[in-house]
Amino acid sequence: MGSLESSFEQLKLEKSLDDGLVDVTDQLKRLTNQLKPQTIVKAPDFDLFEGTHSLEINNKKLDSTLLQLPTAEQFFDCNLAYGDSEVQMNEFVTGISDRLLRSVMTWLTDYQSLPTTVLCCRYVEVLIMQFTEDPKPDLSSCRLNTGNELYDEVLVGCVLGLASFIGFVQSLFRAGVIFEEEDLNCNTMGLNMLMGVTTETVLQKLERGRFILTHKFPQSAHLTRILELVMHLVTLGSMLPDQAEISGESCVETLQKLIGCATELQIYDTTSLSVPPGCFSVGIQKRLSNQFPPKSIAELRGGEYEAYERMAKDICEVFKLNEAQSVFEIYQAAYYFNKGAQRHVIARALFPLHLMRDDQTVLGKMTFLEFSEQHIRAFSLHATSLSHALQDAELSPSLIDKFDAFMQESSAALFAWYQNMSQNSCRYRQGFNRQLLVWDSLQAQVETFEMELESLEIKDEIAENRTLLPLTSWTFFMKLSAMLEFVLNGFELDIYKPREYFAMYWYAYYLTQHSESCLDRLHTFIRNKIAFIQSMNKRLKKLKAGEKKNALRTQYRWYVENDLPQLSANQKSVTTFAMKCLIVKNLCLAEVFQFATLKSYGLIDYDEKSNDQFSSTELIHKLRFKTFSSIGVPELPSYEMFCSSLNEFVVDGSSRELTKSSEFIVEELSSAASAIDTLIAAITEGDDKADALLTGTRVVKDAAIDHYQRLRKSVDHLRANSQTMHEKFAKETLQSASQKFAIDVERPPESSKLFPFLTIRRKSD
Amino acid sequence: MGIEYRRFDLSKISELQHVQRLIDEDLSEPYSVYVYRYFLNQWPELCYLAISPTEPQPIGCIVCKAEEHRGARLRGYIGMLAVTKEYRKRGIAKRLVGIAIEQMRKMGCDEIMLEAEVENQAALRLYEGMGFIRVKRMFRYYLNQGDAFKLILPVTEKSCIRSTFLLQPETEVL
Repeated sequence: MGSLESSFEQLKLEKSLDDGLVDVTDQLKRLTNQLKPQTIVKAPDFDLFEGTHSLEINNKKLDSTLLQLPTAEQFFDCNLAYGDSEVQMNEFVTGISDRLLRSVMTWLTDYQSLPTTVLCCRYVEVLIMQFTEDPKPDLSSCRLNTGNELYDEVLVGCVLGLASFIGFVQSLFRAGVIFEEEDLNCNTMGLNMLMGVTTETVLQKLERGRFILTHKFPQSAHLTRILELVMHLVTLGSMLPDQAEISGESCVETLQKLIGCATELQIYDTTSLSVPPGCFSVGIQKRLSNQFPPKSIAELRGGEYEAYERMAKDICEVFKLNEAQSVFEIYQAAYYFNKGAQRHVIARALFPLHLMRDDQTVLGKMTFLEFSEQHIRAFSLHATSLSHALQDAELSPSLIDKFDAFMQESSAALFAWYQNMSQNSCRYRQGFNRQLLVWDSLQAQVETFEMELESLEIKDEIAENRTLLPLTSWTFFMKLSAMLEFVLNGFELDIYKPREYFAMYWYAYYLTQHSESCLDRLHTFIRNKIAFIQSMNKRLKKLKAGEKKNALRTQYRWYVENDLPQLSANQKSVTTFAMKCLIVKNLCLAEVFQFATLKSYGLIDYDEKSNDQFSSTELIHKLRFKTFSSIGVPELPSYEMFCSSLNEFVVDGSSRELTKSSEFIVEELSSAASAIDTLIAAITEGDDKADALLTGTRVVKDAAIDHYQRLRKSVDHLRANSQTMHEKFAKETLQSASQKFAIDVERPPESSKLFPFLTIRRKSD
Repeated sequence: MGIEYRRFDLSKISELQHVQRLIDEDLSEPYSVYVYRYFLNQWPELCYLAISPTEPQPIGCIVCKAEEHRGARLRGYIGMLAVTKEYRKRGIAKRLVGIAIEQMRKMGCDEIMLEAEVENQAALRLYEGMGFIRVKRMFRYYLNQGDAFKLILPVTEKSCIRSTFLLQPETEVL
């Protein structure tokens, strides 16, 4: 850079052009001729990212100005009313509007770009360019002058309506929840998508179009329906996300209308519709500012109106959050929201914005801090000595400061957790990777705080020399859950090779053991606390009337009114968590045993030596577990521990051991099946009717049931696989099996993506 | 006669054109000349060509770089790898990768990273066979909408420790 600057200084102004500019061509040529081939002149911030995003003039693959346009596209005139008759004009406008509407879904659902979908329509380009150059809030600058109302009013209304909806999507995108070029490509090529124009103005334009159709073109039911769908999109855009805070109901009503409209539009045969030649063109990439390589127009694959339905239904799921009656229900709603098939990108963008508002509230009902505290209360804090000390204002100011600091940090961690739940599956896993450090550090801090509380006798003994540590328990459980999600989600994303299945499932099993132990401690505390309250009632009955009895009665009533309801709820939700944990543990163990059986017969091994040329299996193992290497509790087992654990599960090839291993797998899977069935029954019945469980899934019932039904299918598949392996290996020796069989990964579509499994097939197959 | 492998010569403009031709023929991503220049001018020692005695032009190439990553470790990166169709399945790509890895190791790289399309089974087989593992999946990473895997080959222990803890040796590991 230094030499570049000195070269600039040496530039002499030899001649000045008429327009005041200076011609430096000669100097540039002279200097560039002095450059050696290895010289690179670049800005310091020009990195690989900049490089891969840079374009190159005169490179056909990268320069969209080189695009060749057919004559019809070159000379397309938006001020001509295409069509030989009124009927054909109607057909053309219907065809253009239909294609535009479907292009919006291609953009949003098929992850295409705007220039290759909606913006490639000449009418869109012309009208929105008019607005960009002269942004009149009443849209008076956006005009077609064909002299035909179908074009000049109806089509203009449709285009402006869609531009308004794109503007809404842009605003959602700017909120930073979803990612450019990943979840959504929002490149508008510098066109202003009606910023500053009110919804009413856009709707008036659309209404005018509809009026014309109704009164002058009675045979245009299809086009009218299209216009109505656009109107619903515009209305929806105006409500979200801010207005939804006031009333989710009106949004849901609009969404229902949108679904109805999209359903009606599915009956029309869109293949018979035609558009004027040259109306859709790649030309916009040539004419306007384009920062991307040239790209063909995205193909409409069909099913776009069904996609509108799906989008609307997914957005409705976001508004179901409004129906949540407890923090636990909100937690479960977030957990299951995007668990199955990935939700529509608009719904995913909207979810955290609707849940966690700009005004620092959750659903407009409580502050983040209140929400966080209720979160912890609904798990482990309620009815503890700390909880009572907080209620009775018994803590010193310095302890209150420490508690508040913990709440601030846990609130931030929870915020990140909720924001992560609607991310695409790849970001979802990475989100947990980042969160782990936060939860781990939070646990270390809060444990120190709780030890200080214990030294002041603010503690909850659950057994001799065992205390609860309610805040630490909650943080630890959140951390373990994040660790488990990170590990298991790797299976869904196909991150692990078959040889890694053992290590990942064994580690997941190890984590479930810690979760179980944490939940068990909590259960003991709750059980003891409830028993204590119930024992007060028995003591009351034994006491004679008097002051002592009255005092005990008052105390008993206080506990019954204040502690018992939440304690009972917590007991049930902890049972639900424990059951979920058991299911994962059982499934992981079944996977571990199946892997060990395959290793026994020489079909696979974790400790493969073939990778030692440039690295080592131990180093590769350490890289795989890098995420957890800094986690203090639970400690990451050593590589040797992983290997020796696998060897403990290996069978010796005898029929007795093979059968024993198979029986163990069946036992684990039966336990999982039973827990899954119980949970599905509880979710189906609802929390009001279930006695022992609180699933908190009322507002995400379908998604939660789908999740467990998939797990149930996984159980069945693993069971069948175990039986097949047993039958085949029973006929083989340890040596012969590896010659005959090879391993495949099976991912049955209807089962859980978290539990693919290894199958064997004959090598000849 | 066997395939010859030699280092890229930055002083010859034709070498750049060879690399461009090989990569452009093969990869889904169109790269500008700036990308090529970015790699080749800064790390010419990490670009290798495969030459067949029967062909006038190189039949394969690998383009890499090595840079400090988050101030914590030296990371080698395989940016591009291509072998012309007629010469595939002869171990040429594997040899090119091997040579590049060896060179990056000599330069002190703690790990070597690359991205590969999820659907590119041949590339995944090649790299995973050499010890690379998939560390993360990236949603819609390529212009063709395909997901990608980020793969890493650990060379030293530094590769297995989070950058945060490499940067702050005084940080107490919990």
